[in-house]
Amino acid sequence: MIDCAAMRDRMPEAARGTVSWTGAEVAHLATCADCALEWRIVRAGAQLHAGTAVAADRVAAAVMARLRAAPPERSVIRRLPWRGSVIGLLAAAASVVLILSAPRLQRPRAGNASDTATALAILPELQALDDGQLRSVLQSLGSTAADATSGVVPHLEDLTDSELQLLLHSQGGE
Amino acid sequence: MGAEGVTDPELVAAWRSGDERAAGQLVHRHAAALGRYLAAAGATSADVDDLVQDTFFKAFRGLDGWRGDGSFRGWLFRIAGNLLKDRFRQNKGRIFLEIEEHDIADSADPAGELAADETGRLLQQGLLRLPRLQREVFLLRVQQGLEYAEIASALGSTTGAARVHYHHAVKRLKELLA
Repeated sequence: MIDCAAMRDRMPEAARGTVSWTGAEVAHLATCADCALEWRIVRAGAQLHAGTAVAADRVAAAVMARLRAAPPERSVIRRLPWRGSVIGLLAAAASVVLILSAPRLQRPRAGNASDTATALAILPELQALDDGQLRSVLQSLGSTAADATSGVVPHLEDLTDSELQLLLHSQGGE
Repeated sequence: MGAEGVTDPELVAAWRSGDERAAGQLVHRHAAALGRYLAAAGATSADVDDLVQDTFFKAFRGLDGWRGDGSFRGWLFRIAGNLLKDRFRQNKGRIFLEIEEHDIADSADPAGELAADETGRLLQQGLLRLPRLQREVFLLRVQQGLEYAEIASALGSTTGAARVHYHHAVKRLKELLA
């Protein structure tokens, strides 16, 4: 009794000639239509593009030329006897970059940075202005600014530099 | 160093030590099989040499990706399959299955030759319709003679999954050729 499944498992090897069918198996192929169909498929599959020619010499030469032009990336690190130190240094450098980058992530937008720079630049001038001149400056920032700070202006001299910056920021659309 | 009797891992180790001849021997050993595989999997005859070259180039450049627990040839098939997939995408989904005179099984019997010719043509058409994994598993098993474990390793799958893909591939091909 032929086991169809077991026979089909061996078909690729039989098609490649690494195993041979027994007489009973040959007889089975003549009577079992399903096995015969699979055998036909496997045999044809084993022969697919059997004559495909690859110019191995040319391929090898081209591959070696490309490799010489672009050596394996692994060699850069692997050949270093102190590669452990290199990896450690790279990790440390990455940590430093992350630490230094973290505050920048919380910085205000570019527009706000510009406002800050402007405020810093004009603060010395503000210190020298009297109340009327300060009001005029604030009015130049817009009517809302003047209204919002109208009651505050007499006390501007009491504000610290950082408080003045905050005030100017608040007029910048924050 | 002669290639006869030298295993792939030994040649790979020699290449890693800087022996270029070892790399050349690996190319000569596997280029034809890769070419057949790529052609049957849908590469045009014009693309086969380029794809084989790219396969070896990527393989030698990325030897760290080969863990050595699977066969080197299986790993090459994996790279080749991925390159073909990329080429397939570049061609916007079109793949080409070419039937040439030498693709047809030889037979001394004229009637048998005609039948083999017809089976070969239908098989090519059937392969075109298979999902990629089924097509690759079928070709690796039948055309290349790999064991399921090797196929699983080559495709990054499991032995069981490789068996299932093969079973489905054969079933669909039977339906097409019946």
